[in-house]
Amino acid sequence: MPKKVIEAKNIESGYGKLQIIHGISLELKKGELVTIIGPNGSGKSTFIKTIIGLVPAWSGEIIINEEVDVAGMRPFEIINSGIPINYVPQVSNVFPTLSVKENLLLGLLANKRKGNNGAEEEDWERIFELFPRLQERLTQKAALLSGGERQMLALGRALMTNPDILLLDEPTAALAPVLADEIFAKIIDMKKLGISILLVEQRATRALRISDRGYVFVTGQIAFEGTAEEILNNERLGELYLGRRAK
Amino acid sequence: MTEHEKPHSWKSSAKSALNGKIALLLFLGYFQALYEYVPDQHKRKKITSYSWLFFLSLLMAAYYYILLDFFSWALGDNLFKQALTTIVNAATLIMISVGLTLVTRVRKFANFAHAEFVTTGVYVVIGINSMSWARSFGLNTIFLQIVWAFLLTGGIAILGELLVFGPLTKRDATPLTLMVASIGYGLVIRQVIQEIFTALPQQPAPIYPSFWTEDKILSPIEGIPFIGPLLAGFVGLFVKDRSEFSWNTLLGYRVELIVTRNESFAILIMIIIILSMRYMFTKTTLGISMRATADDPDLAQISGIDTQRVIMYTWFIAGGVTGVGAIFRFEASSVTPAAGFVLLLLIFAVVTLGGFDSFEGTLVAAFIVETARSLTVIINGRLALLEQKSPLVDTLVFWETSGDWKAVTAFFIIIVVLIVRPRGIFGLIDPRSKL
Repeated sequence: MPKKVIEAKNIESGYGKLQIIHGISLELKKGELVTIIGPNGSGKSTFIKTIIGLVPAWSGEIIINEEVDVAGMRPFEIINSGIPINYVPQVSNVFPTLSVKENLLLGLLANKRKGNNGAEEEDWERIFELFPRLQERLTQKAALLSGGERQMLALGRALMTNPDILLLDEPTAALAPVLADEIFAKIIDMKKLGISILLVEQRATRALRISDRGYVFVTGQIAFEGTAEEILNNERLGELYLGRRAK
Repeated sequence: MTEHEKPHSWKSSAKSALNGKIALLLFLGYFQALYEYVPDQHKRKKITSYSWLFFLSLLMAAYYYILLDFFSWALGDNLFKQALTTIVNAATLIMISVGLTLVTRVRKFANFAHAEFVTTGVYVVIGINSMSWARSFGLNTIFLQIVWAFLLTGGIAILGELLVFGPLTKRDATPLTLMVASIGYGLVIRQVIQEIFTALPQQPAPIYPSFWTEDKILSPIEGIPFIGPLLAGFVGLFVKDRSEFSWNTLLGYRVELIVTRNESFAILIMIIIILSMRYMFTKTTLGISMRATADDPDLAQISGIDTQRVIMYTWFIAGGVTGVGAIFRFEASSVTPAAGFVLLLLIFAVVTLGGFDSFEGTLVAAFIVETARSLTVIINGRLALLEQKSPLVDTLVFWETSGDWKAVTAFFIIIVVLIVRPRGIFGLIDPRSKL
């Protein structure tokens, strides 16, 4: 049985006094691509932010690699303590006034802080192989990149930290369909590299087609979970969340 | 008429044409050599752009020299003196403003306590100068004064983050709340300073160490063959109490210029500060972390940056640099605990004009503001003279021609620039798109 890289148990969290997540338990196994779908305001992004520590967990456990409970840790503590996890936010996911190179360098520095020295050249090469366009724009400021390039830089920055687990928050939001296809292709590439991916997506059907499993969130709770096919073939879910017409 | 008094004889014009050609050849040859001997394209591009910057600034300097020359001649007044004062004032203004740029960029609120960082820097020096034990150990010499001012003002800045701004931010205070809190923190600092040092005017004189004398430092340098005298002249700027220069300009105007040691040091320290901050921001991990934190604190945390620590460093460096700048801003005047507060508007003006996220902007803005100020003083002086001479001008110019207009002109320019370019001269981020 593959290792559980993320095991969230009964998470509750929110902003200020407003509770958003009402007891969610979720698993991500090694090498899996799992998609979270759900309507706006169902707490998908908040849940992912809770895992990485940007939103403090009120209660529950977040166990990474069946070893460490990261609930209550702040993001830089999680990253610097050597847990190979990283996160790509939906908006503002690159540093706009930093050059592309500096953006990627920050990922590399985080990797170094974990004590993974050396193999710097390899890291750069791997990124440029995956995102050749970033190499052309190395000295440009990130604010001047196009939407698709910016998304690739965001993925590149996260990949520079050498993660085994990647949390992606709507990587194709606000992108043209062609560019979205490109990003989905990159996600498949990353999965092939052996990275376990937890994906939040609005383009639910597209995302589920490349996923192993899926969760449907509604008002901060899990409304449905199962394999990607189960969700795609479920008629009621199709009507509600996948934009399919009722028969 | 002697030979050399006729500048436009055919001989000399032919000679100058030849000189021009030689200069052009040297200029082109430089780039040719660059092309041949620097094979790496990126490196060459960099050197080329820096070279252009250098040549352009030379050109600008020459242009200003000619302008100054012309107006000195036309007005019969030595404008070179004013130009020097402007440059020194701009240098000190840069030093006390650049810290605010840094804090505004990283912390995203208008820190009114910044004025009191200036005051703190000055009073650190006054305090050390007044302590007899510090004097007897030589702890009050200029280099240590700089270190003390940096450390203590930086400490005061960190204390503000620890006691006031940090806790407020944790409780989701808005930038407006933080701004009001910073006014309060500033008032506390000022009152404490007043309690310790009283409100009487005092002088923060930079003191130079006893080995810092002409015969000990300049005599050996003058002995160096060939470049000795030139080098001694340059080093003399920093060793002699005052260096006197005089030369004939192109229009035959006799210029006499006195540069004091404090003025030379102000410019030198400013250059050191700006260069080291630039280096820190672009080359070091701390600098890149600071910019990352300024751009997006959450994303910075995900990149493994301890944003809290970075913010502390930011305050320390910003406060420290301000403290050092303050020594030179007030070296020639006596100060009261309100000294910094008087400068607050000017500092904010410079930072706004330059664009909140750009050091280059702060640099250029400080020069623009100081130039506008001294030009106003000059023009006002001229008007006052004309008023005395002609009753017509006296009736036309109905206002009092006092120097107080200098702040008005400075702010007028700022408003005009900001209407055209709301993000400031070098600001990358348009405030309308961000807020």
